[in-house]
Amino acid sequence: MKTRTLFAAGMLACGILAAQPSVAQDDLTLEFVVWNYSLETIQDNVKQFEAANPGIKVKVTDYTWPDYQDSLVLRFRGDTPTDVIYGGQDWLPAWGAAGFIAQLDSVAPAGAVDELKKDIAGFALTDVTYKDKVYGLPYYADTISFIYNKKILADAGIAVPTTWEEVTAAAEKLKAGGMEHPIVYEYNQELPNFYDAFVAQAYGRGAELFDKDLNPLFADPNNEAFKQLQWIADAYSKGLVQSETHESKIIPAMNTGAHAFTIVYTYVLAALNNTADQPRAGEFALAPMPGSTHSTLGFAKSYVVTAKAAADPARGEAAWKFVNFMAGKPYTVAKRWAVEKGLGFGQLPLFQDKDVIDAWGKWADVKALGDQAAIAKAGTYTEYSSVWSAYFRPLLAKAMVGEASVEQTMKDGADRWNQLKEQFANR
Amino acid sequence: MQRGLNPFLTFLFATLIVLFTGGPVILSLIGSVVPDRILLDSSKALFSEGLNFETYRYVFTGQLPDSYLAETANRAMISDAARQVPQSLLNSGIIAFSSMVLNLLIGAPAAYVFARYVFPGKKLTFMFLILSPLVPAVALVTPVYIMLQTLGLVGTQAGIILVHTAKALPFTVLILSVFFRKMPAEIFEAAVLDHCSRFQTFWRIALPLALPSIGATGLFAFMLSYSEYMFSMVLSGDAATRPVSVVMAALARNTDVSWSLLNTAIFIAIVPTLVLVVFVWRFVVEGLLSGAVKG
Repeated sequence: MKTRTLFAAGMLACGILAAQPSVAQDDLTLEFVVWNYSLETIQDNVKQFEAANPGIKVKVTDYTWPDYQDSLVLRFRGDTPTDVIYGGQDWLPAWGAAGFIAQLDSVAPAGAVDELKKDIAGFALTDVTYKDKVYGLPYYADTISFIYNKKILADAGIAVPTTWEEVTAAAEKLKAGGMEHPIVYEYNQELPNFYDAFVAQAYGRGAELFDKDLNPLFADPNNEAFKQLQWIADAYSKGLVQSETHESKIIPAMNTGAHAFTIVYTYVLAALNNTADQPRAGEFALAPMPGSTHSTLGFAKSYVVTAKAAADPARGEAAWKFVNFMAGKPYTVAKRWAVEKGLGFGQLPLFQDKDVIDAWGKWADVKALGDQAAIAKAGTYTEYSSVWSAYFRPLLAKAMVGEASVEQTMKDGADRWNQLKEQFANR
Repeated sequence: MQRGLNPFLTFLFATLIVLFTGGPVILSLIGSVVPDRILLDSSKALFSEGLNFETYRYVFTGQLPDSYLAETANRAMISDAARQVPQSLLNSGIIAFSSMVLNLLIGAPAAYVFARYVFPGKKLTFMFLILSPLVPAVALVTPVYIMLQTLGLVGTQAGIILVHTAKALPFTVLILSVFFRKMPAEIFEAAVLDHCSRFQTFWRIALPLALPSIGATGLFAFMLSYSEYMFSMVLSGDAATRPVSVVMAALARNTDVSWSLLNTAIFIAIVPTLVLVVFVWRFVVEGLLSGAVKG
């Protein structure tokens, strides 16, 4: 009897191991891989797609955001069925070079991608493009914003600064009035945001960091990026800046009323003005990035079709239908993310959408946001830019707080870029 | 001369240990019943609005906390990953229990053979088994993933169960083989005289005597599996199969999640572990020690 029990337990274990989810024979099932932001909304969007496209099922697999890129590469390497994925602007060149992903023209009907391109913000289109081919449609796009406290500036009789020199003057006036550190800055060399925020400020001045052949320009003292790093170093040396290690700490810091300015992703503005948990909600607004051009950095995450899906005509066609449903006209899904979750978007017509204006108007000036998105620029991403960024960020951090000279920092950064560029060209 | 422990120092160290171990649990409990607007406002007393269980309600029913129903509230802060916590606890229980059962089914006979029999390659295979945990887990992620992908087990609980079993097996074999080795040889000689086969000797003699150690080792395997993160993250497919370690990482590593909701999820996830520790930890320690020193 006991032996039989043991045998039964063994069979049970084997049964568990053999258990596999079953799928209806006639349905084509797309494997959709995402990071785990708002899964319920994703699943609901998928359900709507399935209802509108009988015969196509979508299976969603999600990973945590910090593990997403590694997990996805593991799936590619392990040949795990993967058809549509969330892509990022910084990963796209490497994935494209490795042949993991497919240009959308290879799965979309002729002219469909070109038609959609017309509505996509410039920075977002750049972020989904690799070697002049479009690889994705925007799932989520955002810009980096210069954010200020309206009440503090109004109380001190200070106009909203339009140049970095005016920011200095405003901060010095506030400091003289008793505010110890008028600027709070996300200072963390480990985060890509740290470099992105610097680039956004430099773009505000009209900086070009690289030429069209990807040669670095920022080591020139006349380059606006060089000037901006000098500006940050000066602001730190004057005691105008308080460092925080993450945007999540900037939110409560700004809500103490002890700081007037910060430079963060625009979605932080929604959190700053969140009446559910922030005591000074409603006091914060964005202004055009200070500088002569008021441009800033934008980025886009996207829906991307894998090369493996594109290689199978039926699967490729289904993948395109899915991507087009999620990010194409009439932008229903992109609008849903914007209205329900406050996610930014790369589809410019949504800035004129009444529902979006109503929803976003509670925490931001939607027209100002639209204007900012229209002039925002993408970052420069190559197969080696993440390696370079990891090298350059600690140098930037030192220069900002006066532990290294701006000149040497920019020279070292340019030298390393050239080195990597040559290495990758010779691979 | 034997000197007694200084009561003051004992109290001090005991307090420090309680603070370090129990402090985070208490903090998560407090954080879970205080709304974000109070938690983030240093000018307000923690319990100025009383206790608030809205985040618990959200986790179990999906109904948003009242403060997040306001038009100007940022609902993105309410991560629906928190709603996966109850299901993930069940998933973790299934995975850890299955891993424990498989560990004992495979590990106990293996330990018995290593302890009582001589066979070619015994020393080599035992050393290989015992030293295998020294290989960093991160180095094994890719080969294990590819192997399980070939078997079609990526995205299934079965894949995770297999990996967790393999991870705990060296410990199971080591602990139980020490225990089996310490058993008096006369018992087994008597069993042979009574015409017991090798399997019967194991099943009817060795196993009943080793039950305390088997129980302890099984619980050890259970806990190793319950808390494992890396392989669970890479191998789990969707929310329906995901263990609690992965769900908690998703929440804790997302900086946009409401603090109160995060604390609620942490506390809910901690409770079963606390119950397990309180009820079985003494048993685990006693079982392991009896295996180590008996004889």
